[in-house]
Amino acid sequence: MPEISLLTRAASCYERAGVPLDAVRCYRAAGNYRPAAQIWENLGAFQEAARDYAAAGAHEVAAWIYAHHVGDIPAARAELAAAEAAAEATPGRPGPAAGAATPPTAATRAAQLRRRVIQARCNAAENVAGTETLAILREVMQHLEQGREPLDLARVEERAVQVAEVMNRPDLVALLFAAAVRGGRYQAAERWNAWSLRVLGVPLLLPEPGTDPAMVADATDGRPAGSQAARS
Amino acid sequence: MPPRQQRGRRAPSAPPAGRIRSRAEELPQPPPVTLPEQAESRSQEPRPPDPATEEARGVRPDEDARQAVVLAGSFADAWAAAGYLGQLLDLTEAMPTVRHGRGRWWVMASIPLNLGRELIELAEGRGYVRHGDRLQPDRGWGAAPRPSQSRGTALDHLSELSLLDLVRAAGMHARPASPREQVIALVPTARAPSLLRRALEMRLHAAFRPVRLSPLFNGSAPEQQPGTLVEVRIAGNAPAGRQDRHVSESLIAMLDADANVLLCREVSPRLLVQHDRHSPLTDRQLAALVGDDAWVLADPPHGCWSMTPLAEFAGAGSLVRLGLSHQLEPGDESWPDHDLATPLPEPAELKIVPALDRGGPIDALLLDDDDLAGLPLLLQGHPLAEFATLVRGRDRHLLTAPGGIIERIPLGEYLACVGPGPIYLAHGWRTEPRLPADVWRRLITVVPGTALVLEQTRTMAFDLSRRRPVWELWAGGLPPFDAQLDADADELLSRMEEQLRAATQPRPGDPRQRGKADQPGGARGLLRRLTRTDPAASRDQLDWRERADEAERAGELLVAAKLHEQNGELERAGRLYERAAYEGPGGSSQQP
Repeated sequence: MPEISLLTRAASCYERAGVPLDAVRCYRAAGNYRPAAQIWENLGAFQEAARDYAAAGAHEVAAWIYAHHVGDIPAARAELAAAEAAAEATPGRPGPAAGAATPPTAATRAAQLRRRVIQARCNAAENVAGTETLAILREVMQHLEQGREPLDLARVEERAVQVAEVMNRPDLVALLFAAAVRGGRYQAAERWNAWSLRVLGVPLLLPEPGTDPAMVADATDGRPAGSQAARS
Repeated sequence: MPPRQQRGRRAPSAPPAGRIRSRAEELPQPPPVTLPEQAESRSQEPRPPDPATEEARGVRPDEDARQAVVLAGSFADAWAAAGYLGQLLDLTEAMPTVRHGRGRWWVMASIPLNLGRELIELAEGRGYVRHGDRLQPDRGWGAAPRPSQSRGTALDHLSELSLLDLVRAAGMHARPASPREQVIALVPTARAPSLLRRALEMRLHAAFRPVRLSPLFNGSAPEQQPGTLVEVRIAGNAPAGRQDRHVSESLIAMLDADANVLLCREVSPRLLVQHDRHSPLTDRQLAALVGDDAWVLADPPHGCWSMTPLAEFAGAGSLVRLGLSHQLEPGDESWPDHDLATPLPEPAELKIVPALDRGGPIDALLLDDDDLAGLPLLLQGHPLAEFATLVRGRDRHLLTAPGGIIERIPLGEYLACVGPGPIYLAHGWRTEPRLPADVWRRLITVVPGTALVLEQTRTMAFDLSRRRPVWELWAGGLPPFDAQLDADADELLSRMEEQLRAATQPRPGDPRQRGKADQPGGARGLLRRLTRTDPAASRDQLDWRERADEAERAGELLVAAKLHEQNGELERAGRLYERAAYEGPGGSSQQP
């Protein structure tokens, strides 16, 4: 059996030397699939990245890459099912054994929301279950606007925007960004502006703070909503 | 314990006022409102207990009823009596005895009065206190009854029986069996092989032994004659914690339905009880009754037996009957070798076959003469030219570098290092069978200072002491030395040279004379002597790459890797770490 720590060290040297494929070989020989998958992803080799993410047990990431980058929807749905099964098997997860009174943790809810966005991405790719997709995006908007927990919403927002773009629905994109701005998400207005420049070719005009009724309502809640928009 | 709300049988015989003193009397009571003269007269009278309060509290007063008495419980049916007997068996001092008479069962024991009253009431019996040869009825309350010759039951009217007789009369009741990890089947000998085979097919642990059965109770039916049976123990095969470690319920149901098979659960090593039957005594109490021989308790038609093992348990596999082809026969004489010089097997031929993984780095290059001619064109100005070395052979040449060539130069044949030492295979090939690193380590100790290149049909050996820097291919030898001294200095140095030579002129036969002829003379020779360095001192001044090369050739790959990493040669460091992971870090893994 090869010495795992030496292989990892070799992979680190290869990475720093700029020979990523040799690093991938060492990481995989060491059974350390996640950094290998990240190298593949950085190289744009999404098929290999998804395969290594799946081998590393990161089924959710693998599912998104299969769905969004590779376009292999059956594989994405299979990885999504594996992610669901892994989440079901996670100790401490609320279930019949743990008792129904145990509330789900913020991380559990975040992972569930991410999986639902991947489900929406698969639906959009196959052009099926439009109602469910819209419901998922509405749920994302609700979390972006009202969620008070660190639910890894930046990634959720990014993926939801990509889903809406695939559906060719810029209105949904705008609604998602608007929800993020109203929810006071960090640099949401900047991301919206960048999207507008990239897709529409025009900069974004957001109302000044205090002039938008929704923002005024947010300010009464004591949330820093609209402050990012003001900086933009 | 919740308070008893009513005591039906005790209510008619409520204790008389003034006989009961309980803790309840000591509870603080609200002071009654009385006239001063009345209060003084009342304080002299004993305060009567309040039976209603006692009844409501449901506490049986302890006073005068804690001492042990010989108390008999009388029960209308054997089941209740056996339940009471079981409770008594848990008390070591009780020493219970059983009697029967007047249509009732009597269980007598020496027991604290109130405890006996509680247990008898639990079993719905009546209590009697023994005084001499009579049993006086107990009120269930207060002190024990006084002796009386007219009341009660004479012991002579009750016949004494054994505890086992009560157990027998009480019988057993059926209760659905829970899943079991082990069941025991008593089967006639003719049925045992099929049962054992079935258990083997179901991958269960099965063992058997013959046992002798004799009737457990005296005066058993005449059909209960002693005989032999086979005891088969069947246990689940799965490890503990697995759900399928239990014996299959379908197998249990099948055995239970077979009239010839008695399926039992093992209560203790000496007590087997029919698997879905339970006595009013608990298993523990029942096991305490067992004597020398093991008991088998079962309902009709099987009945109860005393069991004596006739042999030790044997595995079910011993009952598998093999076909004729499985019979043991003398060995074939032609099978073993007779005339071999050594009994060791012939080693497999080492082959070199293509490997699946061909993406590894290049460690060395094998060049022919044509490649050698083209090498200067490729390597001039290349960083590899700084430290790559060449070992020239007859028609093949080996180009190596500390940490490996790494770069895929479009020339020659790529080689990959397979051992801790300089042993190379063609890149993308491997040995068949695969060999451990220790083999290569031993091989390189056989030919130290040699690089080996294994090919399909030959192994080429390159003497590493003949390594030369690769740049010598195009740099050639040193140009002629011209000191460029003026005439006086040149003459002075020539004279000094002559004097030195004369002073060191060896006499004929001096061994130092040899080898001097080829030493340069004049200013060049003097300059060399002045600038000569001690080889021992120069070893300490080796640069890091030479030290890394030495460590690599010595098989200390980790040392070499760290040197390369510290000096920014990350790709070569990575290759050496990778080789160290597969081939071992080497004998010295300390910091360089």
